[in-house]
Amino acid sequence: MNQNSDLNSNKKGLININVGTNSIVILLIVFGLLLLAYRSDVLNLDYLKSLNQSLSFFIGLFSIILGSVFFKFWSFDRKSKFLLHLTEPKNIPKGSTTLYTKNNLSFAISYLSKVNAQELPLVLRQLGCISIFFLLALITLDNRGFSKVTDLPGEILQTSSDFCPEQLAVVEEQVPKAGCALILKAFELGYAKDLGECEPEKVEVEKLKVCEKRRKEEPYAHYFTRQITSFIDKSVVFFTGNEVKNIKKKFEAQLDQIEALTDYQRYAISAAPRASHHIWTNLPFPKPEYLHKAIETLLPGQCLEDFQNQTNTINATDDEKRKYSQYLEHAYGQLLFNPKVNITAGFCKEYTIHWNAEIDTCEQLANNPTSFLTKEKVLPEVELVFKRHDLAKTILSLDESLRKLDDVEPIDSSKETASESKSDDNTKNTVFNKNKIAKSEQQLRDKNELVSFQCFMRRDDGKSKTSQTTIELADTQFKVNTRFFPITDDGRDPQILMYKQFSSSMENKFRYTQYNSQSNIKLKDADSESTAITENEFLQQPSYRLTRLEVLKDADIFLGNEWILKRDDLLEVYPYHVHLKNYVEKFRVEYIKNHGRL
Amino acid sequence: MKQLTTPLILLVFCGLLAAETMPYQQQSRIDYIEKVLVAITSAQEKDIDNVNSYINVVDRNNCASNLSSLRTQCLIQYAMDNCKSLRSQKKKLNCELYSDIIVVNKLSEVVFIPRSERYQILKNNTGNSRQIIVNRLEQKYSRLVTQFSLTPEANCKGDDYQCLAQGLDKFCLDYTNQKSLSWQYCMSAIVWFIGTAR
Repeated sequence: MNQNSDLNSNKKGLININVGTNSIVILLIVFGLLLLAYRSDVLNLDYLKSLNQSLSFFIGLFSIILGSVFFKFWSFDRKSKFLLHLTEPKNIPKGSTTLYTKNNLSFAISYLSKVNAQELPLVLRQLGCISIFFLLALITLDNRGFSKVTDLPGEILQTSSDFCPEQLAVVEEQVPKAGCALILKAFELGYAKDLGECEPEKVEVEKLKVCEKRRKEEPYAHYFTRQITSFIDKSVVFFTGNEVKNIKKKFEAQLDQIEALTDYQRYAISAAPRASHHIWTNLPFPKPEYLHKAIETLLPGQCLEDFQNQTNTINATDDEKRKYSQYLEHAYGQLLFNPKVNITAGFCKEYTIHWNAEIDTCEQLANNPTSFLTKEKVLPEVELVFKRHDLAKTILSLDESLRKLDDVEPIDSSKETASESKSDDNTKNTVFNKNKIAKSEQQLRDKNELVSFQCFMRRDDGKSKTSQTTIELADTQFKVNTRFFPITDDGRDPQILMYKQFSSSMENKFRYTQYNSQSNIKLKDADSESTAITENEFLQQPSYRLTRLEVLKDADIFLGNEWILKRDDLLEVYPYHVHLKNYVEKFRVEYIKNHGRL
Repeated sequence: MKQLTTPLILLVFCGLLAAETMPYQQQSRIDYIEKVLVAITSAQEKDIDNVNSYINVVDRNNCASNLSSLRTQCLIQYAMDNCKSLRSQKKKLNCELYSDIIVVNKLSEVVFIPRSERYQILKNNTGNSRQIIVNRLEQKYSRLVTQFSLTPEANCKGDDYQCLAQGLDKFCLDYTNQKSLSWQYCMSAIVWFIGTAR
């Protein structure tokens, strides 16, 4: 400061200030922190008095150490490399950068200039650095925060749940029986001498187990070592015991059947058919053939929607050629797939009616099943169903072998306590899985229940006839029914006729009699003339015409009652739904005994 | 022309005879429904209510039976006897027509409100149980009427009962072919709703 006076006093009144940036930086930071501390109200004397001793000591230590390090590390103890000049332009040292010039006064900054700059004394600079960290600590730390920081290591190391309880709770639980609340209350009040049947059951006290958690007085290192040792022991037991061997065996067992497992999943995901039932008939397509094929191509999964919205009866077209095909299709949908009547007997996409077949179709099938099915383009689907059936059996046997591997015995008597509960769970799981597999095996249908072939042929000789042949496919015997049904103009309702004929064809054990009909049992024969006369007379009366229709509910046209079938007017208002629903239900009960899907 | 007269007369006679032997043919049904509609809309409300109450009582007592044929014949007989007490021939005829509707509605009650639903209604409600059942039936009838009114057959002029009967007949035939409901139940429910909606 004194050396520069010569330079500075060349002209009186002229400003010539040269200051080192080190001093300016320290002053600025201290000033900024002072302002912040003032705004944070930490320069309050009362607040400073409230600081606890450890915090005060920490702040002092922190500021001195870090302040000194900062002072040395940032070279605040040396001459500043950067200098700020506020003087006449001619006095600005060479190589300086002028930042601002006005009224013959320049403000510039120079680097490593030889001009002697003004600096704070060394002591003040060091004090400034210490002050910086002092104020920083004062602003950021308070008593609460400091205690949180100091307590943190202890909290990490010590959590109450990881400790063994000081006193082991031995509680005898008493489970009160349901419905005994009144008697218990009476006993408490002294109205009852004993509880009798309401005596609560005593539950076994939970067995005391050796506590493996950390004890309160146990050092952390000892606890850590104990945990490591225990882990190693358990690992050795695990890897040398039966469990790993079982896991390995189970894996190997599944690996051997990897192809089967993959196929099983693949077929399940791709919704491959789970059954395949085929009906050949010599009746023509119910719709024109081109339309039928177009629908099959463009709307392949239409059958679900079609059968969902079926009516109780249909008015077949006047086209004599297709009338019976339409009746057949209607009866087929009602008997097997209409969801309004309980559970459906099958999935419509797994059933196929082959129209326009030859009358000796089933004979051809019996002569050479494989080539016939190949010709009909049916064999791939049938073989796929067989394959899925075989896969199902393989999976079940795999499940059985895996279940056997799950029966793990305890390997060490000293470990009995620990493994007892595990073996109890294992036993329960074993029983459950065994029952599940046994049930699955029972429910797994035979191949001849999943695949069926029948022929339903029209014959105009006036007699219905059923014949049966047996074929062999995939080492399984299949019965092939052929039903010949007549169509004659004897006034009988063709729809009802079709139901009866088709249901007999699909399930020859199905019988529909008065005993499983919903009509009231009558002593008179349903077809007797006297019945017809009585009912007709009743319905002929001019009054209460709507009420009189009630008698039709008792007349099941599936059992005969020809007098109704001869009256077109009654057939228009006949309650088909009553007896049709019953007929279909009874048929399905019989049908699903011998037919189904995987 | 004179040569055609006799065959024409014979044809008409045969038609009438057929109608008599086939009382449930389409035209006969429509004519009957038309008469019922006229009867129920022209009758007094209190007369209809009286017959309704009477049929309710009779059904629970005299005509209670598990055999539907016995029950039906019994109800018809009591309804006929009830209508005989009226003096005017026209009133007797009207009485029989709307009694027919009332009896069919009584028989169809168990179809519109199954036993399980009836049990739930009575379990969850206190008060006049009969009135609650009646209200629920009205709701069910109104659904049928709503569906009918959305069909093109419902577009009839106010007093054109022939058109209305025709539309009702077609609607109920289609409806019962798709759903599990008898034709006469469908018809009576809608006719009752129309007739008593005053």
